[in-house]
Amino acid sequence: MGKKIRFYLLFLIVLVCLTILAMAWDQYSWKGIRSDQMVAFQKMVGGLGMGAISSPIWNFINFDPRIQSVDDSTLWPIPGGYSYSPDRTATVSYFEEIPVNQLFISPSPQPSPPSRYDSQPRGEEKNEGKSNR
Amino acid sequence: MKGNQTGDMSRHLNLLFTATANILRNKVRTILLILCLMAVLFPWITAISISEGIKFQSLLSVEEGADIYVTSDYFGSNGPIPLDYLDRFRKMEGVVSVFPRIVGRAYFVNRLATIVGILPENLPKSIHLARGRTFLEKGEVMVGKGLAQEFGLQPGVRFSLSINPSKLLKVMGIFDADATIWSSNLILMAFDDAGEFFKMKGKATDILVYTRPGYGSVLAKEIQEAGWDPPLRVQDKALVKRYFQRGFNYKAGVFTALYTVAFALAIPALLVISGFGQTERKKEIGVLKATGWQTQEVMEMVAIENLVISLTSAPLAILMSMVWLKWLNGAWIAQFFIAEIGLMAPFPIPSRFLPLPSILAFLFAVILTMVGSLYSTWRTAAVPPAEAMR
Repeated sequence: MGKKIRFYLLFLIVLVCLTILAMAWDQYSWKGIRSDQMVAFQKMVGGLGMGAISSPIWNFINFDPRIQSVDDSTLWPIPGGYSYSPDRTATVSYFEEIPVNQLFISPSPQPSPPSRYDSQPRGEEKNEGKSNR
Repeated sequence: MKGNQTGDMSRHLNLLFTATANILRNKVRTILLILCLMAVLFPWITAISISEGIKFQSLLSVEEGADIYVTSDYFGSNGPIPLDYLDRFRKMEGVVSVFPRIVGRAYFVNRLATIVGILPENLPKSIHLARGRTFLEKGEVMVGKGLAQEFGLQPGVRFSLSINPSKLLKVMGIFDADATIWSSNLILMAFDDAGEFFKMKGKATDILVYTRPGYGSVLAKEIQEAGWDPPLRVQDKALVKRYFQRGFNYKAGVFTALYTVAFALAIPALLVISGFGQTERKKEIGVLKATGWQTQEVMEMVAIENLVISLTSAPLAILMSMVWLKWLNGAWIAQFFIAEIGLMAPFPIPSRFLPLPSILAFLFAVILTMVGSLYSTWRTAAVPPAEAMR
């Protein structure tokens, strides 16, 4: 085995060990953060900020969907079209509106007695009041 | 049996030494290949580590935040909520505490600032400021380090903003850069001051409800279904966690899509690059075959070569990314992953280097180099040595 080969393999081992050590150090440094300033800050403001953006430019939803859970940037500049909001280019996070079911389907109304103007009982014409459940 | 194992081991070791010798002999090809792999892996590792760092801070924001956020529902959007609701929520069973909060935005010169108003009693004693002190009197504010740096704000500086020119504010403290990325462009003031500033006295943007463990979703449902007029919009911790999950895990923005394309393009690019010096490589393989090497041994040697190159480039890309993010604070590159921070971020760029992305980076490198070389090597090794050497 030549000197150069030995040196290169040694360099490779040192490189891999150094990377593992650096990653272990990084993991360790994040462990101590919990009790630090971040917790104090978040407790103080009641939880603020979620996305990879430092100011709520154009739309709040990518800064913090709790503050504005409705993505109104989809309404303009082109209604219903692609949003040109710059926060859409924030590349490592993206928040969109979570659909909330606001539909209540009422039970079918009881048929009421026919009035003298009705030829049919109410609620039976055109499936009125019937759900598709 | 033992002799066979030792023989096998020494054969593999010999192949490793030969592969390393090949790597060192073809210096230009090796350096080009390592540089290409680093160019492909470095942005990916950087983005993933920044994403993990922000994810950590974001999760902290969710966990340390309120259990329920209540706002008014104005025509389907969030609207200000009157403070009368505070007492109603306080009386509900399972509620520990209720606070109003104002979160708005205003332009500070050309920089969009987040204006937050909180009750002065919510200011913790443990909060550490880079300079100055917390607000105590009317009109006093604390500002983020980003704003302070950009506009030279110092404790004692007075200012007003066009949204309410009559409301004079005085900088009393500057946030520590270590707080979070969201404190950088922040102006924090007392709740009453924020109400006066936005000319919305008696209203909050949201009411934060802290509950006893296990009461969160029950109370959220109770508030939602109470039939308020105007209706209220209620978000509990479970919903906020869903935002968090979707925002970071399911949809990582355009980045994933772009990178899929980049990886796809890197494969043919490396096919060409790893074919660099292919004539010489053909002759080498021909000589090896003529001296009695089996096709399988040639293939193994090339595979080991690729492994060694990947093992060199992946750690180098990780270390380079680490140095750039930790020591150079992601200068120039971080703005591609965190919007609105400029060339030099005024806060430490959050980055976490987890084992899984690093292993994936190594595997990507292995796949790219293997794809680029194994097939061409097999084609060369499968022909008679005389033809390969021609």
